[in-house]
Amino acid sequence: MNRIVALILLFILMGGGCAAQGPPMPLEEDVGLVWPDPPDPPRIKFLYSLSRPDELGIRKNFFQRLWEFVAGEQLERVVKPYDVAAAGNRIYISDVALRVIHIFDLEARRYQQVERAGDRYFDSPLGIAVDGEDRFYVSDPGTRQIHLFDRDGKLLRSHEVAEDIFRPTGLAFDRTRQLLYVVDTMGHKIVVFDQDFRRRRLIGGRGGRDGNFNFPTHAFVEKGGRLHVVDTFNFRIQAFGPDGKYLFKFGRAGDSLRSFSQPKGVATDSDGNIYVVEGRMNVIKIFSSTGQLLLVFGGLGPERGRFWLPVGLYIDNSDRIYVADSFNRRVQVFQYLRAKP
Amino acid sequence: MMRLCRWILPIALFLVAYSGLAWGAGIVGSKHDLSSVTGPGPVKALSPALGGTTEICVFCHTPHNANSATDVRPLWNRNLSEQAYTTYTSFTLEHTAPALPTGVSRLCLSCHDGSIPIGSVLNIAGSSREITMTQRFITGQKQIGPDLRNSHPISFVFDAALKAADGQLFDPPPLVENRPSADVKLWDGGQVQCPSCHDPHRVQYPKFLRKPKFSQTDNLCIVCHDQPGWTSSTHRNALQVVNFGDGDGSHNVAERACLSCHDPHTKAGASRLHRDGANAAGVSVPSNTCFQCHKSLVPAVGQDVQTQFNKIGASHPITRDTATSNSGHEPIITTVTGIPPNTALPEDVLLVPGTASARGVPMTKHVECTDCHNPHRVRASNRTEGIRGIDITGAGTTVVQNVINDPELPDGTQKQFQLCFRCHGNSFDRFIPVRLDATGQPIRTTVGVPASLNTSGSNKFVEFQPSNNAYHPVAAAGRNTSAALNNQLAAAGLNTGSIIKCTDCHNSNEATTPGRVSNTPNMVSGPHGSIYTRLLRGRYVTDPRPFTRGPFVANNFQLCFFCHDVNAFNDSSRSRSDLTNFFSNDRENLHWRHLTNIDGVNDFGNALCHDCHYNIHSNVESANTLFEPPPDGDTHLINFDPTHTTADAAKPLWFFNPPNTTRFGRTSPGRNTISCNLVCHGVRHDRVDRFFYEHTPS
Repeated sequence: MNRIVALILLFILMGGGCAAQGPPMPLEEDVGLVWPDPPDPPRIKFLYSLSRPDELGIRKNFFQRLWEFVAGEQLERVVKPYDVAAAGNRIYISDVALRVIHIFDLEARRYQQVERAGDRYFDSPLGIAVDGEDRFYVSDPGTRQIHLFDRDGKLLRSHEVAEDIFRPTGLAFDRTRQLLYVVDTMGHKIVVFDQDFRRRRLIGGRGGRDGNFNFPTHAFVEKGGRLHVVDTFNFRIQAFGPDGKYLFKFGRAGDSLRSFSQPKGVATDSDGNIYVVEGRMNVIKIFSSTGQLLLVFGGLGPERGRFWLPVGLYIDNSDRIYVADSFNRRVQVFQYLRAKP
Repeated sequence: MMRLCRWILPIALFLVAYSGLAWGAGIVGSKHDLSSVTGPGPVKALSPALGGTTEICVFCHTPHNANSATDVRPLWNRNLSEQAYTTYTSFTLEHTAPALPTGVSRLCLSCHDGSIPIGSVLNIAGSSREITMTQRFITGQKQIGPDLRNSHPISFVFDAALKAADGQLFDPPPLVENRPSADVKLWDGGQVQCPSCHDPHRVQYPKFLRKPKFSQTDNLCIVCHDQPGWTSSTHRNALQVVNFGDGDGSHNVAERACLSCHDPHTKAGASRLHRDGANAAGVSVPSNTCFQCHKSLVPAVGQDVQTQFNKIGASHPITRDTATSNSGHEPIITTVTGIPPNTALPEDVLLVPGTASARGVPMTKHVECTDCHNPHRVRASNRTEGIRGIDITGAGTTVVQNVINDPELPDGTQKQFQLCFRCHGNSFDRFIPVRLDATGQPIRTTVGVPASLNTSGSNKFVEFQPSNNAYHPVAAAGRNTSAALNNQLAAAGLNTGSIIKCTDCHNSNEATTPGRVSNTPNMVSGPHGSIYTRLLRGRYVTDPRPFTRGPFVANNFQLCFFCHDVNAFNDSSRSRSDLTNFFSNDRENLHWRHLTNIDGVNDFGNALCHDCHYNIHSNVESANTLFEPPPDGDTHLINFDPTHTTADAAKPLWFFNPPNTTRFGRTSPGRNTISCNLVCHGVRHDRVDRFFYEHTPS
């Protein structure tokens, strides 16, 4: 009898313990999509696209399937991604339609949805930022909260923003100084928090002058501590030093290549090039660290390498570029190919 | 050139603001004024020196900035041409995926995505791609969801061909020509887009709409939608005041017009843009829209139909034929996922039985309000106005374009059955759920059709044919024109030439006034719900068989006695030949004898009406009776319960005896008589105990 029980347990453990074994899918399929076109040396390469976990070979294990048999299937796909962040091989995607955070763990081949912060469901999870310790922040302007989660989506703490912060959307985290930058879109300012959510600094105010904002949306901090802010309705990018001092700006309204029509996400690569998502034209524009236009890639469409109203942007330490392609219901990942020095 | 360009826009705005044209001035200070200087706020500077006025339009209208200077060219790719981008006035023609929103609507969507509220407005392709549903809904939030089914369709061409195919549209509005204009327009080559209804530049009406939201005669919807019969409909002209608690305040139904029942950005999961047309799980429940008003409200708005449907018992479908199980035309879809959304039964299937639906709409066995009522054309003076029906004539495919339910037609014929034949006619097999008897076997009354779990009941189109031998007079006057029957019906205000409606029997249990059922303000007349089984307005016991010692309980057959005088059946003192022809040789009332249980001396029949009139609609499909009718052909709706047997024949026999004829070993008297050959409770109504009862020509 004991042997039978042990055998049964063994089978259950085998089925449940082996998480998600499926035929491994190559994450980096070489489809040959590069920009710019040859014969120019390639700078950006398409890697893969994230929309559904089963496309990446992430299968549900036995226990998950059993649970879903009882409780009903969860919709597991990216529906309307707003922002994206990544730490190593873990990718966090905020989804405004499903009101969840998708967590793709490409190394462990696991997928997870976070739909709650503790016992409070998300209302509109928008900005995501990762800190250096495998934790991530989520801003939820609908509930006026900024949440901190651990790498598995367990809530560590929540902070309700003060009344003078109207709509916290974009997030950026400075690992060196351990500062969280929160973009207050309706308040036209950046609020700088420390680890304990104490306010350190305010940057901006509404207006058209240097250092002012008009509906800023996204922000990104590069390694040296320089903060880049997408000043969306002033149609420009502004850069600030780690002390909040205004450094420079570039961009203006227009439909030419170096102009902006509706700038959304921003990020920098390891060479200091500034990438800006141009939402209305469905492209990513790449500028040098001094604001010179380097490359424009993308275009409208559902194919790989094209976008449909892209929003969020993130570049990790390995120069992988993540783009939240909102209306194509996916996150596309590219690689910046560093020029050999 | 650049200097002039810089000045044109502010000068134009300056002129526009002062000339009173509502174009640019309409947007300044509105929710679409995103300028860092002017809005919404106290400062309304017009001077370009402040750098403010140029910024109002630029958030949606990207200015040209075609700088041919070389520093614009990307350093990494010197071959990229500036001509890759279209100008700011045309957003279409580029995309290749057909199912995503196109054109000008993307302009709206590129901003309304969450960072700058209104909420998170999001649209992903509708019917041609996989529909995704969000997992939870916050009630009251107007979200244009990933499921496009809950928003008015956009990105489709509205032209004369569409108008001809639809049949309920006016001519297409004009294409975009001159701006500004307040009218409803088509965009991007004749397409309906977000700006067809919303004018982002002007706040004339709430939500940037181009027309008033609440107006009986000048609302937005009727610019394009031409519903036949709407102008005379009760729903268009009703003046009851309703407040839905959604912040729009109180308006009367006429003023709400289309918005009483439709919401262009409705709850996720609702079909046909029904207002409030989905439940908390996001499953489409069209009847919820009707129940917004047609429920118990104080003061009352519409007739309270919801209370009728609430009578339907928890056990569905009805599997046991008891006297007290609730029943009704159940319109509510279950909340079990996987059952296709309820969109009412397909019209083409209802009218031509046996056909598959041309539109591929899945068949469900649930009924919706709109299967019987056309809400655009319904009138208090004819509650089925605009519904098509199947007539009694022909092969069951004769379609009547409009069923007249109220009032009865002047010549006394009624046509309500045309509506019922949509489901209870030749195609009943596909809609009527199976009914099981006490042992769990399916009940069948149709001769020759094998019993199966998919069918039950019977074909009313066949049963009510005027050529049949006996039937309740639904489609034609009955065959029994005897004086006795006339007297039976007189107290109820009927006679042998009367024609009744289906709803004179199948109605709410509150229809307790004898005779025909009429619709009064306090009672909802109709086959919606009843506490009695089979949607009957009164008790009609068939199973289990009650047994009480004493005279029979009239209340067990309350249904019949709404029209038929009960004295014809329960009077034991005389034959009551004035009211009935069913009496014996020695003038005993045979109905009384069969129905009563005991008279203190003898045990009698303890029968139910059901025993001999098994199918009281008609006996054309008697599965267990053989007839030898009298010369006048009337069989008095006799058809025996399937459990009756006889020793002399395969089935019980009901037959006419000419005078002085010998049959089964007995000789009939010298008068016309009728006999039954069957066994009941061991009483053999055959050779030995055969009875003769008077046959009076009917």
